[in-house]
Amino acid sequence: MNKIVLIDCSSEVTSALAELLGEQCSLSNISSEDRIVPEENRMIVLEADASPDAIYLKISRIRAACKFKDIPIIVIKRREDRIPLEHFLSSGATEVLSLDAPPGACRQILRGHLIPNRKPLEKEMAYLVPFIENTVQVLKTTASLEVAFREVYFSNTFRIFGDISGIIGLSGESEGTVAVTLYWRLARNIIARMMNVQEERINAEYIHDGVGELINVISGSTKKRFKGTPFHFELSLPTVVVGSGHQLGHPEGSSIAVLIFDVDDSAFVLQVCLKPKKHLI
Amino acid sequence: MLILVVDDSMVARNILKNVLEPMGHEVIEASNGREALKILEKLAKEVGCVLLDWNMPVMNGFETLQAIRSDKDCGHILILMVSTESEDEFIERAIAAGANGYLAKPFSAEELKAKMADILKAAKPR
Repeated sequence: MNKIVLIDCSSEVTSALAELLGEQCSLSNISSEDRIVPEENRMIVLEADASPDAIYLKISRIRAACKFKDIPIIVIKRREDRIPLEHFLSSGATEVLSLDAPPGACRQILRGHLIPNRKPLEKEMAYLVPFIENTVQVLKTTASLEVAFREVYFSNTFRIFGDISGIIGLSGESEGTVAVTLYWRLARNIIARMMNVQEERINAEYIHDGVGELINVISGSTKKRFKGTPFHFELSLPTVVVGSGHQLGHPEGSSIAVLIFDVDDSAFVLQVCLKPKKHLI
Repeated sequence: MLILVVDDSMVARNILKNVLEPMGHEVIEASNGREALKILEKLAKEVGCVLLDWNMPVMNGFETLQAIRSDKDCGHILILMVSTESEDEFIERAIAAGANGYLAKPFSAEELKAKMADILKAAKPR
């Protein structure tokens, strides 16, 4: 049974969703996003009302509370309007649907979002485990931070929402990209710890530079573990992308492993996209 | 000792600086090899040690190492490579080209202090 939570939805939207999703879903309607525990739900639904700014804010808060877990956030419009979809999507929504649209199409889209992400095969874990172990080790050594690996899944569709990403291109025996994505507050904390200074001294320039150095060290130290294997790679220089709702591109046709790590009450994500030139998997 | 820290990451330079200065060293910085060589043109006699990253834009650490070692005015300078490139072949290449030591990232403050002590100790009898 898929648990779906509706936040402050009208009876019209609630009954329409119940019909669209069928008996395999259990729907509950709550009055405020403050009461939501995102990870307990398979989908979160909001209704777009007359005040889109309030909805954008709600979506951003829910997306942050999901701590990088791929929980679809669906915005339902009772009827088509002229509010651009982009604002909903860049706030963290997965999909915007209108009840004016054909029910068959809406049903198919909603059910598509309920398909769970693929978990890695054992042979895929062979190249993911070194990244997991080295990420934990790098943060322990450089920032004295205890980091716990939470979960990994493959997704080619989920957009990772964070404030800043460090990305590094890989080439050689294997090709691809590795990226770390964090929210600003955790990034500032990590960089301050790496530099052994108070957080107040860490400005945007340090965070920007430090996130690049972080992905550089994670990738570089992991590279050694692949020596003599088809997963070995050479590093490019890191680049950094900043901005809420930013999106990263990965090489076409490749699978992206999303690795989630917890640090106290916060979380960050490592995206690993690694494809050996010799086809192994 | 006057130490020249060469790394394209400002944060990486600061990490090194925040360990070296409390040890009593004075630190100057360059963000790539070419900048480092320009500094050494003027301050070769004063600089006692260079900490050198490997992967940098403009001029990488290995090219910089080779350039410093081919300059007779820099013969006294100790060179510690500090890099994410931690595979044996990188270390062997650097040592063969004249590096006095190699420290792989990530490292703790204690590991940096120990490595500095090692290369300073090894340099003393010369």
